[in-house]
Amino acid sequence: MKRWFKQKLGRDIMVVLYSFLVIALVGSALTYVYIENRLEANEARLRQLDERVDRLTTMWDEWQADQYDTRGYLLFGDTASLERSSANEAKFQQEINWFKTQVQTRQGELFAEDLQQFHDFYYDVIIPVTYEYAQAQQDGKITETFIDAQTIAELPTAQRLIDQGLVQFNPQRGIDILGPIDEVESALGEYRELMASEKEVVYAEWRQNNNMLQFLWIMSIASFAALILLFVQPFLRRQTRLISRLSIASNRLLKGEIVDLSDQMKREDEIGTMSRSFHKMAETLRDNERHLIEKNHELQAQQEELIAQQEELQAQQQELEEILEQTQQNEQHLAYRNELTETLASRDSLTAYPEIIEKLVTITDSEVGALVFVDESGTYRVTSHGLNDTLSRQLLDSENSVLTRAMTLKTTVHSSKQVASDHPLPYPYYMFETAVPVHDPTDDSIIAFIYLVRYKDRFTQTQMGDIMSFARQLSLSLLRMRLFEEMKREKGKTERILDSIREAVVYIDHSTDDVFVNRPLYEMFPELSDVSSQDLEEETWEEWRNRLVETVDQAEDFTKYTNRLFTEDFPHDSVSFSIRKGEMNLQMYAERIIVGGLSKGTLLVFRDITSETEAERLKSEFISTISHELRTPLSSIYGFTELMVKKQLPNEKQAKYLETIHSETERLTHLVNDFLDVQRMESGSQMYDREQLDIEPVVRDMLTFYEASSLKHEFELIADDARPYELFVDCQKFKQLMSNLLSNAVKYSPRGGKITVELAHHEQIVSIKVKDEGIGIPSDALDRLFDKFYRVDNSDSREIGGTGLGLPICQEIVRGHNGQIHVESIQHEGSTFIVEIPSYEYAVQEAETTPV
Amino acid sequence: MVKILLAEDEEVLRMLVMDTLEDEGYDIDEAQDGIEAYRLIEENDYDLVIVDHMMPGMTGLEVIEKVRKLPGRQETKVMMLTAKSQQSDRDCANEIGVDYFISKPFSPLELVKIIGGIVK
Repeated sequence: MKRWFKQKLGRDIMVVLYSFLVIALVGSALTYVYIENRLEANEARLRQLDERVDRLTTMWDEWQADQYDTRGYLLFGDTASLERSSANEAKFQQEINWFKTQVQTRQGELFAEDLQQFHDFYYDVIIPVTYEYAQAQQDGKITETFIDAQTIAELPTAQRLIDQGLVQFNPQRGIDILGPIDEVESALGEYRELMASEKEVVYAEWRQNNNMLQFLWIMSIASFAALILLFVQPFLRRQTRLISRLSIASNRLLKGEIVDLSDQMKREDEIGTMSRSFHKMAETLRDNERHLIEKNHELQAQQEELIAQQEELQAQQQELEEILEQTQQNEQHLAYRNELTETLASRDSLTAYPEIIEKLVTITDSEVGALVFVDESGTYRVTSHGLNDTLSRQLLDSENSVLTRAMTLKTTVHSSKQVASDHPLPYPYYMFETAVPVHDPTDDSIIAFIYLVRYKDRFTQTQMGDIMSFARQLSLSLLRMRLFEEMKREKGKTERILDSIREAVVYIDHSTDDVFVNRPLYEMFPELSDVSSQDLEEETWEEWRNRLVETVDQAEDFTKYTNRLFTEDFPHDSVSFSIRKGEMNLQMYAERIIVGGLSKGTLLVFRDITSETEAERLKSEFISTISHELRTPLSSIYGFTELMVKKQLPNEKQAKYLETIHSETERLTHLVNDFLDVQRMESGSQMYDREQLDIEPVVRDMLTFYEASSLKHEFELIADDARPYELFVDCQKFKQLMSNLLSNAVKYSPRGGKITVELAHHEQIVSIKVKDEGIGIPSDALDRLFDKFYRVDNSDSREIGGTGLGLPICQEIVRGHNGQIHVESIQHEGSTFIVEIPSYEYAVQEAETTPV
Repeated sequence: MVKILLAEDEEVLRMLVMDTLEDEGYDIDEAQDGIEAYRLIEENDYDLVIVDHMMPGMTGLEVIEKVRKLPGRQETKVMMLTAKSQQSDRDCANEIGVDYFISKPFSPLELVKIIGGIVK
């Protein structure tokens, strides 16, 4: 317990203060409660007394009023007064009862008894007697003006009461009523006084209590103040003293004096802790100081030693710097050599000769240098560094120059000579020259020389070794470059060849997986132009294939074929497919490129077979059309002949059938002729039997014939010129031409309309226009209209029969007569075919001037 | 009486078939092109329809394709008379609803026999 107090400053004082505070608080509370109770009891008693006095006063007043009422009745016979008085009886009794229950003192009890007696007397005696007297007065039994005592006493009620001994007879008043009244009045007075005195007592007591409370309050404050003075001040004084001791000690410590706080250090509280820390601090400070002094001595010694070392280092550094300079020089040298080797190895060596010779000069510590190339004819080409014209001329032209000698001897040649000139050095000097031949490694012929010049010393052994090795490198580099150039040329040639062929080619290199393509591939697959060529260059075959397959319509065939490329099952056949929804038909085949028994790559070739496919399609279409066209007349001939053979027919029918058979045979003949014409045209063996022909009557005849065979169409010939429309033509062929054009006009205007033929003269030609109002020709078909086997394929024309030969035959005939045919058409409105053939005169003139 | 429609653009062939069948006592209507043929089939319930394939306006196949969609014409017997005789043409015609396929040139007496078999 004692220890606990010592551990912390102020713990004792705090405990004392808190205890006192608790005692003071409890005591005050108890006192306060006690006094408060006392005060409250006093106040209650005062209230009780006041109430009693009030009630007495009220009671008395009421009784007085009763009395007056009774008297009033007695005097004036006012019965209402009497009734009011008797009604008050119960109330009066109640008040008395209250007093009886509330009384606490002897005097109170007596007083209550007096009141009860008075009440009994008043209401048992006075009121009944008075009532009877008044009754008798009213009845007239009593007539006296003043109340006579005797009369009262003689009243039966009074008589009975006197007999009972409840009242005494009084000769003056009849019955004694004043006695009780006086008694009760005096009792009331006494009681009042008693109350007043009691109130005094209670009040005094209340005041005393109040005084005591005030006294206690002042006392408690005073005692608290005293306690603070008593306990706290000495405590504070004690603590302050301890701290001020510490402060003094620290001041002393600052001044470097010895401090002793041993007594204080033993304490367990904060002061003790502080003192101990202080003590430790003081000791540490002393130790440090000692230490520093020692250190200082040591440092001084070290410094001296360092100065000595520094001097030594400076000497070493100088030495090192010299070595470094040397190394840097060597390094530079090496770097130059590296650069030189790199330059020689790089692709651009051709343009890098000045750089090469410059580096060579630096490395060999020369003044001047040159690369002299010798071509097959023996002429020199010089790339030099520091070589002036004079030296250059001397070198190349002089018979004694090292170069000439080296060329002759085909080996390295050195020379040294004294130069009297003062240029470029300001005094005569020696000039050391060397020329090292560079051999072509393939045939050992000399292709160049390395020429170097020094002014001061000879070339050392090492330098000569360098130069020789450069010569070897240069020769290899030149060879490599020649090979590279050759390869580039070859490659360019191959590329040009590949680009110039019509087929698209993809080459997949097996060793590098690189893909090479030629230009036609880009033309075949324009989609590839959307991708940058750089991206494409880096792509593998797989990526290329994915790009190509996107455009292929038969992607599955394409994939299946290309899947086999790198397997055992290499495809030796070809595959055909269309791209861009039939825009182009391609045939693809693959070849393995085998060099020395090893497969080096795969070549894929894409051939554009669109036109071949188209021709194939046209041909098969043509055959199908021909077959259809042939079958119709054949059906008629076959059918009618069968009927004629197998059935009995009337004569007219037989005749009709025969006629039909005849015309159908004729139709067949035309078809076959058309077909033969085409064949002839294709072989170029068509001959024309020309003659002078006025075409107007020919055309007119034909129109008449057509008019007869078609009811839907109206025909018109416009030939306004008076001159005859004379041509130099094969009549049969001309008729065939016109017949084709007219039958087309009829066929392709299935809803009828007007067909006009217009003949006209121009300068040297006659034009024939055949115009219809039919379905017309779509503009995209106009270009191909005169192609063999071509037929416009749309819903309007599909059902119209034809061989697709009529117009090609027409064109052939017109061209055969040095003419032209063309067409103008608006779809759904009609077409106009315009034939222009030289007039007879012009044609003959031409035929005469043109040598056969 | 058996009612037959003949749709053929070639007049000569129309005459051949008409003459042959009329002798057998059939009641025959003629159509010169596909459009007319379709109109007639729409209006009349024929026992047999004979159509050429290559006709202006509408091809025989187009006519039949449309006819098959008409109410009450699904069962109408259809014979196609055509110069197209490849197997692919036959398959195509079958698919569209052609019942008989006769390729040109044909024997009229044979045709009479076949038709007799169909309409009996």
